[in-house]
Amino acid sequence: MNILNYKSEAECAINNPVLQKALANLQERIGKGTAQGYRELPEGPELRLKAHAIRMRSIENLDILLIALADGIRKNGGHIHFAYDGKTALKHCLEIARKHNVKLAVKGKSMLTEEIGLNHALNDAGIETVETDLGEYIIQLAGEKPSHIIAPAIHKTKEQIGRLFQDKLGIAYTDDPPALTRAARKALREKFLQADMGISGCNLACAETGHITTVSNEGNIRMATTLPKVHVAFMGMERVTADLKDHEILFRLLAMGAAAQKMAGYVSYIGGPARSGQTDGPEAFHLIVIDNGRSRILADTDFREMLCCIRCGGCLNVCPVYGKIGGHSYGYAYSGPVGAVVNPLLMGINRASDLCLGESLCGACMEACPVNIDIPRMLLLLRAKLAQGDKTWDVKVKSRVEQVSFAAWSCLIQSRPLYDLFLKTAYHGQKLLPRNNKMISRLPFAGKGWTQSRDLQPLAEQSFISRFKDNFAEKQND
Amino acid sequence: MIEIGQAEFIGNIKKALNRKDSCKQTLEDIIQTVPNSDDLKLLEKIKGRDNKIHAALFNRLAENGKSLNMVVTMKKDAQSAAASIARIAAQKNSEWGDKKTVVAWDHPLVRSLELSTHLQACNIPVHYPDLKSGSNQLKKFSTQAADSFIGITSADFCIAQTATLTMKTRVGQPRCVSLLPSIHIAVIKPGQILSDLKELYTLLKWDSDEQTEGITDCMTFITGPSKTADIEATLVNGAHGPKELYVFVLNE
Ligand code: SF4
Repeated sequence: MNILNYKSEAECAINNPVLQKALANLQERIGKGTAQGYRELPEGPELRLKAHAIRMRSIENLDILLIALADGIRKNGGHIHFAYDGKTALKHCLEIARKHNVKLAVKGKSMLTEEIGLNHALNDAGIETVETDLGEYIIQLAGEKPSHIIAPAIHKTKEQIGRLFQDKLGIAYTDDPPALTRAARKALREKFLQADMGISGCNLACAETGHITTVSNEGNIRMATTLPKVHVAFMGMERVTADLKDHEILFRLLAMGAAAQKMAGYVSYIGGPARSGQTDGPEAFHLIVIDNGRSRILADTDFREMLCCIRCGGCLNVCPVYGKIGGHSYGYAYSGPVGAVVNPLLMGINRASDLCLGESLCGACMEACPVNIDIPRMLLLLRAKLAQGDKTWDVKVKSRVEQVSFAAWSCLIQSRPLYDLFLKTAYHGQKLLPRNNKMISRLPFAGKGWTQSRDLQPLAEQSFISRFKDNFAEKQND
Repeated sequence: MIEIGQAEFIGNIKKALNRKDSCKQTLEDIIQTVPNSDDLKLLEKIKGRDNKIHAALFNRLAENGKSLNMVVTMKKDAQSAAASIARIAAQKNSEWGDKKTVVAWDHPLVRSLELSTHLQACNIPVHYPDLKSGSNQLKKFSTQAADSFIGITSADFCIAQTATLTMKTRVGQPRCVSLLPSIHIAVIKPGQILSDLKELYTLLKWDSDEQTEGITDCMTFITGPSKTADIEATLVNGAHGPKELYVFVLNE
């Protein structure tokens, strides 16, 4: 996972008119569509609270559910592997690939494999790995990173994609989305039919029956899990639910959060290899269950709620910050509000501090979230940890200067005479600062950032309290 | 890299959850294992539906299918469904092979269409998975499916609320028939239409036949033809799966 520079990437994104248009369009269509869809649910938007309870109950029984899932998968003839970290997960996958002599792997979209860097590992092992979700395929051909959980190529125009396909697929240039889709359909079909291994993520697993589920609109995951002789699925350990009937609510809400749909195009329950006598389906099925920092989140009841997330990307489609800076600024697999909480928790709070500091705490994400996760609460908590430091999460105080300034400020405002003295000094001091239209246009030292893109109202000569006293006293005397 | 087995992996989770070693709960302790009165009532309701209710459900299904570019039509019998399929086969072009071919499930309802007879006129062969043959023959069917332009299946249920077809995988009913051809046609009976997903999950969980069979190694829900909006958010049907989806409801 490469760490990019949040601020410079964000600046780049804001100055890119194409991206700005695409993001605005996405939020206008899907963000609003989702909100409308929630209102139109027979049960109303409150259904999200029920979904939250279902997910929370699963998380709190995760040990029991994972044991049951493992038993179920084995009973169905599949294999299950537990990986404490990303590297171990990669090792399992490579071993499976070696055992089956895999040369070509086709992949369904999976943010988890992005998190652990699977494509790199497979390529290094000499296995051609093809992303098959159209958006991911475009990104892979262009050698870029996904910029949205559900719409990975949102930052590219049809003209750019047309030139890319002309260059990489050798087709005549076109910027017609249906024609481009057909070209990808044809190229990828070859790969599906040749591939020896299909790789997928897992949206939700079901402990009761011993199945994972995959969801797509394109049908690429069905292809990748039906045609090749081996299917390897990657699952974050939190994705399992207890009861088959939990899925009714969760799938409807997942589709609504992800794409403002009543139901996703394809949902498949997969519980092992093909049975004898069947003409298709894989000969071997492997599920790799990954911790990679999740048990640490689970242990902290303040953040446990984050494991309810079903990675629908809904919060991205309403976030005013994501809507301006786009997905690449976040620098990790997960972007938007979900990324601003998950990335720090998985990669280190200090390392990803810009992400949680950058969000606006407006609360839109929580309302858009199909499982009603209180992201703003957790963003605030992460910020508190950055301000004060935290032992359990190994957080170092982000800025000593800020910490000392606030301590000083706290002393200052607790003493009236001291505060008045400060105001007076500051009033006279501010005369030295540059002005723009009577407003202060640049603050010195730590205040520099504050005036970078806005001006500051100067202090008045007389404070409100003293003016109030003067006027009030006058009136009383009348 | 930290290599640990299942026991240690789960042990970590137990620790994170502050779970006592003495806790002996299993899945049965936390899920519903017997149907409650609401479940039973719903099962009754589904079983007790008459033609009028099925017709209303069909209308809802057809309406909801429309916005998904999915064609849902009532056919008076197998004959007329087969005639419609023959018409589609004659009109549409083959996408993958140079020759037009059709693949179909080995399923009583699909067999009742007598497709081979109806498609003979336009010289289009119909392939069924040959159950008696060995595994080589079975593999050949996948290749036939990849070359075909139409795939004919039935389904277990069709949900009116979301216009969703559901199908388990059984011998003779391969997944690729609803996936590889350019056009997917599903043939069902009115009694297979359910109102909503809640009914489906209630059946899957509590109906005794469903329970016995389980959800098989692959149960798929299909809602509309394959679609993508990955290029400038423009909706295009036929990303990887079928471009067109028809549901014929046989009203006989
Ligand atoms: S936090 Fe909620 S809205 Fe955001 S991706 Fe997760 S489930 Fe979806």
